[in-house]
Amino acid sequence: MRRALNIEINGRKQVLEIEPNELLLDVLRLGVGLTGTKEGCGEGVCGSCTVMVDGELVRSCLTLAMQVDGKAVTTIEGIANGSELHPLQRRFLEHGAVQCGFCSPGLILTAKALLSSNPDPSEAEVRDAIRGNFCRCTGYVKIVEAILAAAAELRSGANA
Amino acid sequence: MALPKFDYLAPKSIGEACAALAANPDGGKLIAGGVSLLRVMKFRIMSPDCLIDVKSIPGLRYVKCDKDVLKIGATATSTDVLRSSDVAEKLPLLSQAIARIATTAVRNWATVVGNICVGHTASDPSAALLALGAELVISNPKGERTLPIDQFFLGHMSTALEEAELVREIRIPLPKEPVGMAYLAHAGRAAMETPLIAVGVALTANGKGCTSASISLAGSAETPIRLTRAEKALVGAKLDEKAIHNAALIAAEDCAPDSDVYASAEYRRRLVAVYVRDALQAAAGRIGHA
Amino acid sequence: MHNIKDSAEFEVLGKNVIREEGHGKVTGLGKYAIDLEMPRMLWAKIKRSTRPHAKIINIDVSRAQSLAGVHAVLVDKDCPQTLFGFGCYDEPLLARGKVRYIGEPVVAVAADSEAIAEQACDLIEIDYEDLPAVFDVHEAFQTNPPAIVHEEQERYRRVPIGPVQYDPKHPNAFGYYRIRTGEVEKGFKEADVVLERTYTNAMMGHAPMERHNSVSLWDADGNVTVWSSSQAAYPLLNQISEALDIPHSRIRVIIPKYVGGGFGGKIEMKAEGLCAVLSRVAGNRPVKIVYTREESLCWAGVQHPFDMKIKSGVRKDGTITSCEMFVLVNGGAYAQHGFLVTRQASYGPLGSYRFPNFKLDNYVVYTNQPPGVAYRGFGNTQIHFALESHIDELANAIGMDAYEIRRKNILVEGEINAAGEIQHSVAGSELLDEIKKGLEQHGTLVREGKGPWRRGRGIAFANKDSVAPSASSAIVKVHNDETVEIRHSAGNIGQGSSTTLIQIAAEFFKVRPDRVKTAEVDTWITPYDQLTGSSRITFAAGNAVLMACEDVKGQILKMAAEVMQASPEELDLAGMKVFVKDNPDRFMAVRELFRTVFFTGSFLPTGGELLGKATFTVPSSKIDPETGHAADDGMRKIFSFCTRAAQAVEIAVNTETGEVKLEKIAIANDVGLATAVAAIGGALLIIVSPVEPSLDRVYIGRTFCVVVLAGLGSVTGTLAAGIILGVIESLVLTMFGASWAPAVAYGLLLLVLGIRPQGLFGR
Repeated sequence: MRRALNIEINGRKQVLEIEPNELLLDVLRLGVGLTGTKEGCGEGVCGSCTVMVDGELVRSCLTLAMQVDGKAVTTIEGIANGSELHPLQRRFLEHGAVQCGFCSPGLILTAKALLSSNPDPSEAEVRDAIRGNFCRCTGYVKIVEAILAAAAELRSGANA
Repeated sequence: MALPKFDYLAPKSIGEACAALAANPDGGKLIAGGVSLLRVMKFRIMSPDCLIDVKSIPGLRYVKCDKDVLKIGATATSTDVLRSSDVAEKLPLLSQAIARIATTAVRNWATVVGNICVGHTASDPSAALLALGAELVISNPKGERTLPIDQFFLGHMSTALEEAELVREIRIPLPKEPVGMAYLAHAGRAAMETPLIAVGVALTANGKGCTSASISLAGSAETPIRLTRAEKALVGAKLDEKAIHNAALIAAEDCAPDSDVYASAEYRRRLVAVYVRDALQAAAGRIGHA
Repeated sequence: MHNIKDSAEFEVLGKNVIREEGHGKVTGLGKYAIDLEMPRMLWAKIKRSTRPHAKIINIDVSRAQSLAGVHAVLVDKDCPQTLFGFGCYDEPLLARGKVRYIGEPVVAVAADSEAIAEQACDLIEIDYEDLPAVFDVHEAFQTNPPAIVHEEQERYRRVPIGPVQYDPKHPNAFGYYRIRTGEVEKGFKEADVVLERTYTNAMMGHAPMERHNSVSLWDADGNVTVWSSSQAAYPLLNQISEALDIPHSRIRVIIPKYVGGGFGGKIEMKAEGLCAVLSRVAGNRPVKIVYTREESLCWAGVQHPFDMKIKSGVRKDGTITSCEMFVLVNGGAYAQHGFLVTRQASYGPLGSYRFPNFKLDNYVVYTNQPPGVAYRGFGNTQIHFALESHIDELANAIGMDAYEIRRKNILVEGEINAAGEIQHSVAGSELLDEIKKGLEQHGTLVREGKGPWRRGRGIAFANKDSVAPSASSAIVKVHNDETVEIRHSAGNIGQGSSTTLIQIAAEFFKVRPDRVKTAEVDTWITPYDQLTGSSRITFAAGNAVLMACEDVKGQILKMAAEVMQASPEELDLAGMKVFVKDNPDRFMAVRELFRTVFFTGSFLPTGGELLGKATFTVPSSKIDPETGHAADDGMRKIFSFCTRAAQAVEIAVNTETGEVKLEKIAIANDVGLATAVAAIGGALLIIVSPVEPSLDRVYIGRTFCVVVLAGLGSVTGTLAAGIILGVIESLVLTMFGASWAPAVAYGLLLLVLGIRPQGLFGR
């Protein structure tokens, strides 16, 4: 039986009709066509499907859509300011932190959550924050560099 | 991987949730964060007809001190527990164990009660709660009962929860005297891994030696366990290298790990000896008995 | 004539350029194959074998067929009765008569949703009669094995490669390679120490982040279109052709610009052909399949486990006098790329060291395990792991340093190796020297660590060849706004190859890289390419692009000559301006060539297009199947090129728990001039990957052989000379899997060594 789901996605409030067995990932990818959220493993392990619910990171592949009723979801499509990339997105590009790119959305959102709670993380803190995000191409060094560079940029922007 | 079909119920009270469980004795299943449940449902290991959402019940998301007891509500997430300064200060063993769980995105959604109710042997919070002597408040259609957590784990993915019962709250006695605590885990890799084995230790001592000891293990038997024989051997003894070594040997004898794709039983037993020793040393050190 | 000589002149090559598809990746707007959805699209699922080796007695699909939302259910008899493969044509779309491994596709379903398709699979009942199964490669190799995996092997169609591939004495062996040089027995007599050791490695999964997936459409006109997360458009097209028994002309393979990794695991056809049949049966509806992570890891091809026996003789001064290798490759239940992995791995040792006497026999053997495929180096990972472990043991046996013994035996520039191949741009000694210096920067080793921790150091060397013959084609179009469009089929699986090709064209035309773009790989539009694999793209596709640029430049000069009333020979092109060489003030912009309205709009006055095309081919020498030697034909060439790398590490081992921590690492890669600096840096760093003692794998002692490979560049013969080097898909090999320890502390020394442009590749 289809149910109504009240959900805000990237700032837009929507009412969707969904089946109880739909996951947040399905609602985003198939329901509203936001395919930037990826499914790498479907088991909550790889981190590609990471999105924010009410500002907190979750695994959308293991989140029942019905349980986000009334909540606000942020995906990778929702973090740029119009055509201007978020500093994390731009630093990922500049630092060569993107190769196949499949893990990038989950990593960028994870980094965004880290920097909002800890604007000046150490390298160890960055590594701990992204410990649940698999990348098979880069070996993480460039990703850590990109996050630290974005953190510095955001701090200097905040001070300016 | 798609989930099988099921109905979804959002009870507004514990009474409604118990009633829904009672009404669906064969196919009803509680869901909190669902991180473990949805995964096994994707693999069709479980296919419940109906999921009863504990998270829809208001008032169960709390981590609070009530006199000398810390209470964790049924829908408190791991992150909620980690954000509690009471836990960090008074029960570091618990925060260390919970900080090990998966990653932020999982801890933000998954609940601590849900974690222990899965009944997995390699559960970090289960080992910590065993060592801390926690009690569970269990609701059922008739009312409530409390159960010490060391009577909760019955077998692989099997708990003492009966039909139409749910864990409403975890209660942990807060220490009245200095307790040396330590939590150590060994995983196959550094990141994002359930432990191969984990050890929780809580010790008290006076000038003569150890006055109480509580040692628990995860991933070292069919369920998380307490090591009562090793505990008894320590109580009354001086917390020196010899006593700790002896307790670690007993631990290695008393654990009953399985072999699986991640590690052999032999390797796990060896790890138990090393990690019980190190955890005891660390805990003793924290109360000045290094 | 355009001439790219040295890096000082480069404006785009060797620079850090933002990758072409990067914006789509960081914004989530780029569409991978897994993101495709089409009107009327159905979802497919495969019912897989639960038995390793069994006769199929009965398949009951009736309940699945009658499930609401199911549109097609296929068993073998509904499919073309063909066999497909690479070196050996042995595989049906669905199990035919018997199953040969757990996970083999038996029934395929297409339904309205993934959930319904999964439910339908659960309703299918298959009755099996179990047959004896064989998993161990030694048992399978026996003359009377416990099971014969392919009874009909003798009749299979094959690609002729090396000596006779089927030998009735070994009915499960499906591929064989041999190399013979000198007399090994004589060599052993000349040695002071002879050692024999066996090395094995475990099966591994590629685990690309984007699981194997595709959409197939068999349209009402009889054309099959496939959108796939593949790394090899034309090989895929050919396999679909063979499996479905339809000509190339009816097949269109499209690979999106966004592919989430491959690592060798996306070369073969997976379910593209099967889903095409589902599409036809379901009334010409597009059919999508997405493998689960389990399917992708276990049943979409794995890295072959090797069993390698090595016997070597060494003199006290470190000279290796003789080496004999006997290798068994566990090929799994179907051949796939096993024959080529076996061949490429056979030559691996010969690109590193000098062996006056050498004998190798390498068999790839069917077992009831999942089929093996290429994985980051076509078998080189496995063979170098064994070889480097063995070299360490030889060093220990004669009391020599691990560096010294390698330095003593390493091939040098211009040397003819034990397979009769001339070695070019060999930086072996330099690489070893650099990593030695790198480690020495950290001072002397302190063995004792804290508590149970102890430290040790180790070094390893590796080389990686790239297949020959090898061919890539490219088309380069110059648009009326002077944008350069490259059409090529060298799929970018994340390594950044399309950006590398853009840099090459931008360098050629002296334009900014953002004035160059690449077309999506589409076999109805983009021309032939062998495959994204074997570390060949920068070299082969890069040269093809350069040649196509030269072709279109000729057209531009000819057309401009008429307008400028000069001869083409007097003119040159740079920055999209045609100018008189002797008088650069006389020039015209390329866009002005589109000066006349042809019929309507801004086109060339004569109609047509500025369209250059070229094919770059690397030939190889004739190989003697008995000895594996290259003919002495003046070329002496077995591979397109060979790259080399060396690493040194300092690690700490917990002597109580077996944990291993990588503490310091020195990496030296011969990459020539890197075309894409940011990309190569990232790719090299993936090697920082930990050993996991808890996995119960057998680790072979001292050899922490973490091998990095890098791409090699090109000399473009008659057109342009220079080195364009870069990043390729198989940059990296890791012995221990690519999981990650955030706690790893490492010191890094990244060396990019220039190699001598003279004498590259025999030119």
